Parts: sequence; structure tokens; C-alpha cells
Amino acid sequence: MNQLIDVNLFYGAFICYGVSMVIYFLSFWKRTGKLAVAGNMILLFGLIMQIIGLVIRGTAAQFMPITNIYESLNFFSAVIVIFFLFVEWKFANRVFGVFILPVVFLLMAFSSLPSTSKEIVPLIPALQSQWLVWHVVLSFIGEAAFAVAFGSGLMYLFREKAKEGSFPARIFPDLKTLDTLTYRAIAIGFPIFTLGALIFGAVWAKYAWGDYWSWDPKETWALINWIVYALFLHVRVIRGWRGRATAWIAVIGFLTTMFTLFGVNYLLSGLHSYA
Amino acid sequence: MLSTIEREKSPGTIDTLSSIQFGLVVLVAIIFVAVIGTIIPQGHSLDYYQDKYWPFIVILIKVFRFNFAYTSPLFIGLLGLFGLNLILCSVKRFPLLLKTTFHPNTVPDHDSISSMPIRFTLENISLEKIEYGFLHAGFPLKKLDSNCLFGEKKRLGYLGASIVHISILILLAGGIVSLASGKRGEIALENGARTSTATLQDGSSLPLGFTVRLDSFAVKFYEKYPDRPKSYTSSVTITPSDGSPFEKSIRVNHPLIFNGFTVYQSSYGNSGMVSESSSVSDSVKVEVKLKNAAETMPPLAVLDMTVGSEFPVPGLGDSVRVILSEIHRDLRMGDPSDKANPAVKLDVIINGKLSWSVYAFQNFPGLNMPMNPNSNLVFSMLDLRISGVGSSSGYYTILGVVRDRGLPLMAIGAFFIMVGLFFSLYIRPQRIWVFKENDKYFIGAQVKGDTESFSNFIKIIIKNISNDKNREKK
Repeated sequence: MNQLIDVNLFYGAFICYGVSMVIYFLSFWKRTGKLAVAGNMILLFGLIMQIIGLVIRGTAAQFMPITNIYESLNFFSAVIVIFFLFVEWKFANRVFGVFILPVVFLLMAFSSLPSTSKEIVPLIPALQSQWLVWHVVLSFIGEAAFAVAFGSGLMYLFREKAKEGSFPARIFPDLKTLDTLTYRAIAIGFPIFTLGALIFGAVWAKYAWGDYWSWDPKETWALINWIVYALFLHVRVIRGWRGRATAWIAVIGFLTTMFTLFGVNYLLSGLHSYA
Repeated sequence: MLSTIEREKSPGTIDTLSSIQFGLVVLVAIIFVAVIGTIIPQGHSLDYYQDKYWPFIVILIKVFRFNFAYTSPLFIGLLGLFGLNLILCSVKRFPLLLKTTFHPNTVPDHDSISSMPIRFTLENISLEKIEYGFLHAGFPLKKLDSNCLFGEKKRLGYLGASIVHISILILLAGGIVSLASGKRGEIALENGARTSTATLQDGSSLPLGFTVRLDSFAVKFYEKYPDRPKSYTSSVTITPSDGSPFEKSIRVNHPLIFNGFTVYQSSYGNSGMVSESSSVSDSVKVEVKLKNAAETMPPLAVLDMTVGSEFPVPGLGDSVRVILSEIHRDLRMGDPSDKANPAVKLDVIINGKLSWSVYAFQNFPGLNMPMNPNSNLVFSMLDLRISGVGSSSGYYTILGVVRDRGLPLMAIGAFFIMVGLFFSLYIRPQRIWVFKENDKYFIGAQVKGDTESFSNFIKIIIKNISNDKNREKK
């Protein structure tokens, strides 16, 4: 019974996010912020549904609902939406939705596929660990910050192409703001990702598999992902690179993140078969 | 990894090896090999790849050892070069870093202030007023002499990047120690069995310095999901070579960490054949009765046999010998989920040659199953009842054993990488200089990170100082 409720709430959130994304696009197209307010409300409604769904599911499973790809994607998209709402409020700009919400929509679409198992199944022994919670929760918070950097990086690249005074240029935040946002999102996401994905992942691996590092494809790709963002910080802080180059690194970094999350599971084989 | 020192002359070897460009090239190469390692299945012999890939790729795998990508000389060499790059640039920038952090050039001049990213000028005001204005805003400045003020905050932020780099070096060192001295092996134990060594991957034995005895092993499944394991628990008694024994439950995610070893629940299985070399005391009790004899009739013989024991068959000459050749804890015959099926195998040797064999089963007394039906001469008259083979669960446990001396270094490296990241990303060193020249005060400031907001902060202080001055005038 419980399971039906949470799955339906997640479907509801998916629909809300989809509708909200379409409204944000329309608002962008029609050049009016009023529509986006409606989009924002629907998004918020979807987020509330998703959070209630996560709480119900967590209560039913008696564990943080992050133990398979279905639960993880719901948790991940909820965190991105929370970050997005904060950014939108902070910068008082409705354009962010056009660049960040498609990511949320795609994640939710993937989680809603019939092939994604939605059943609550009890945890196998390897997953019965508090380190799993810390590892997954912090990894996704870090990656959600990377999603924001991806959005602002893309916006930077679009804004840069637009002619001064033209339509997109007028409603986009200025380049400096976007550049700073990209940096700040990565500066927040990077240490959290380091701690959650790499360090806590290694601690958990030590407890569960005996080795802190096994060069499992997922581990390797998480490390590559880390190196890409480390590169971003180096070139920006030490070499003083700004703008287009760092925006590209933020975009590539998030694509690497997505590959680490999905590509490794579906294209490569390894120990992380469950998520 | 990075040097801020700009050099005009052509770079030497050390300069090249310590440069950011070199570091980047090495990192890209590391990523490249790492990615190859995730694409090409690891750990197989070359034959495995011959059927799957083009010959050219197989040659590349052979030359660069891509089948063991992460322990290949190429990869280790690249990590070494990366480490060297980090060491050289850390050493190179260390004096400058120390000076920047702890002994900044506190007495400025006109030139140094004009090169600072944040600059202001103030006129017709006393140094004390400026000092008070900054103090009031929470940024105290020290008077260096009658013409100079200097103040700073959060100077440890300069050390952040270096702490991260040194932490990465510590992690690399930990990785080397792990690789060089780390051992990975397994212990397979049945109930009641004990061992003081683990079997390494190459088949050799690793002494543990303590004895592990398996008291029991249990697999539990979820009630509603009979196929889904809930827990694997090996209850063991550990007897240190120089201490008193203690009990421990080893479960997945709850390893035993003792004497430099991590002993973790790795796998399990149904007991198979027990060989002579097994550490288990592999004796079996065999009751010999006449077939179809009444239950109350005492057995012809009760024998304690081990692998290799001879089974005395009455009425046969010296040319026929019956030897107990195998003891199976669980002879698999059908569905693996069946309960364990303990059995023994007896070989009948006639004139020194193995003639035929017969199995006797603990769970099926009387079913003496000859492998050669035509030769079932003796055993058709006998009823063999065996007991005492194997554990009732029919499982054995496999415990993974890892000795990793690099672990403390990895823990230290991981801790300090977080400290370094925190310092470098969130602790923003701020410095302000005030310098008087020709009745004008030049104010210069440096900040790591957000120059604009620090500039605004100083602008407001200066505005307040100017306003106070104007108020006084009025």
C-alpha cells in the first residue's frame, strides 16, 4: 500500500517537473516572467510531493531511500530542485529554469521508465551500512551543486554568444554573475563530493570489501570526475582563467558526472552494480 | 603543482618537471590509461583478449599491460611523474609560500601599492583616524611606523592549496605502501575448523599471527524474499599467539580488524570435497551391518576412518583392498538448494589397480551406490551407515584477509585533503596596507578570491572615515 503511494507521488513529481519545465521554456520564449511564476509554483508542488514520497518510502523501508537507482534519482533530483530554487531566489532570475530543469526532467524520466525497478526490497548485507547513507547522500549533494554549475556554465556560453542588447542578453544574468555562480557551485560541490564520493566511498569499501580502492570502473570514473573539477579550480584560482574556458570545464565536468552515474552502470561492468 | 613564479629564461629540466603544463599532461595521460582500464576487462590472461579484439589492440594490451592497467608500469610510472611534479612544485614554491603567509612585505611603498588589485587614496586626515576607522569596522591595523599601517586576516588560507597537494602526495605514498606491502588472501573454513594462515592469490600461505576458528556460519534470508540474503555471519574465535582467545561475529560491513589484518565476510558456499590437506579433522564413523539385518542387531564393525584408511572386508584375500578415498561434506547431485548431502567414496583396488568405487551417503543409509554396477559384489551384502561428516548447515565460509600498511597514510591524506580544501576554498586571506606619501594616504589591499566584495568593504570604511572627517569639520 505504502509503496503505491510513494511511487505515485514520484510520478506526480515527475509530471510537475515536466509541466514546470515546459512553462519555463514558454516563459523564456514569450519573454515574460509571469508564466515562470506559475512554473515555479508547480515545481515547488512537485518537490513537496517528492519529499513526502521519500519520507514515506524511507519509513516503509526503514532506511534512507537511496539504495537503488530509482530512489537515488528521486533523491538526486529533489536536491537539484532545492538548489535551483535557491539560485533562482538569490539571483531573482527566471532563466536558470530553462537550463537546469531539463536535467531534473531527464533524471526523473529515467527513474520513471518501466524498466527501472520501483519495488522496495530489503537490503542485501553489503548495503546495510551507515557509510552507504553518507556516501550516497553527500555524493548527490555534491553532484547537485555540479548540476547548478552545469546550468550556469551553459548559460554563460549562450549569453556570451548573444549580442549585447539582444533578447537573450537582456534577460540573462550578466557574464560575471554567471561565472561567479559557476565557481561558487563547484567550490561548494567539490569538497562535498570529495568527502562523500571518494573518502566515504573508500571507507565503506574498506568495511564491506576489505579494500578502500579497487579500481572498479565507478571508482575510476568518480576519480576522473574529481580530476576534472580539480582542474577547474586550478585554472580559475591559480591561473586566473575566467569565462568561456571555465564554463566549458563545468559543462564537461557534469557530463563526466552523468557518465559516472549512468554510463558506468550500463556500458561498463563492476562492483557498483546496484547503483 | 603550480608555480606562480614567472621566469623569462628558457626553462630547465626541474622547471619543466615542476610546471603546471607538465602536471596537466601527466594528469591527462593518467586519465587516459584509467579510462582504458575501465573499458578493457581487467585481470585476464592475453588469450582472453585474442578472441575479442583486433590483433593490433591485443599487441597494445600486451605491450602496455592494459589487462592489469592500474598496476602496469606505465600507470605506476605516470603516477610517479605526477608525484614528482607535486613534490618539485611544492618544494619550489615553499619559500615563497612561507614568506607570503608568515612574513609578508608589511612595509609598502608607492610602487607595491599601485600594483595591488584594490587601491584607494585618502587626503587630509590623520593616520590615527584611519586606524580607528578600520578598527571600528572590525579590521584592526597595526602601526608599523608613523607613515604605515598594516593589517591582515585569515592568512592560513594561503596554505590551503599546499595542504591539498601534500595530502595528495601522502595518498600516493599510501598507495605505494599498499601496493608494495599489501597482502590479500582468503580463508575458507568449515564449522569447527581452524587456521592460522590465509591463502594468498598466488597460492602461498600468509601467517596471521593468530588462529581463527569457525564456531558457526549462518546465512539468513528475508522471510518475504526467500532468495534475498539478509545476513552472512561467521562466528569465530580468535586466539592470538600471545593472548587470550576472544569471540567475534564477522558480518558483511562488520569486519574484524586485528593484528594489522582486516578479516571480512567475503563469500560462502556449500561444502564440497574435503581433501587430505584440509585443515578439518576429516574423520568419519562407518557402521557396517549386514543388509536387511534387523535394526536391533549389532553392527559387524564400527570404524573411525579418515581419507586413506583401509576398509576391512571380511573374506577377501590380500589382492583386494578397499580404501576410503574421499569424504564429501556435501556431494552435489541435483538442486543446489537441497540440504547438504554428506557422503564417502570407497575405492576397491584389485591387484594394485583401481577397479571400481562405491559411494555411501549419510542421509541415505543402505544406499551404497557402486560406480560400476557389474562389480557390486561385496557391497550388495553390506549396509554402510556413515555419520559425523561435515556440519549440519552444509556451508563453509570464505573470509577475505587484507593486510594494508598504507591505510594510516591514506587516512591521514584523506583528512588533510579535506582540511586543505576547506582552507583553500573558504578561508580567504585579506591584507590591507596604508602608506603615507606627500600628505596623501595610499590604501592598498589584497584578497584571495572575491576582490569586488572586499573592495566594497574597504570603500564603505573609507566613506565612513571621510564622513566622520566632514562631520568634525562642520
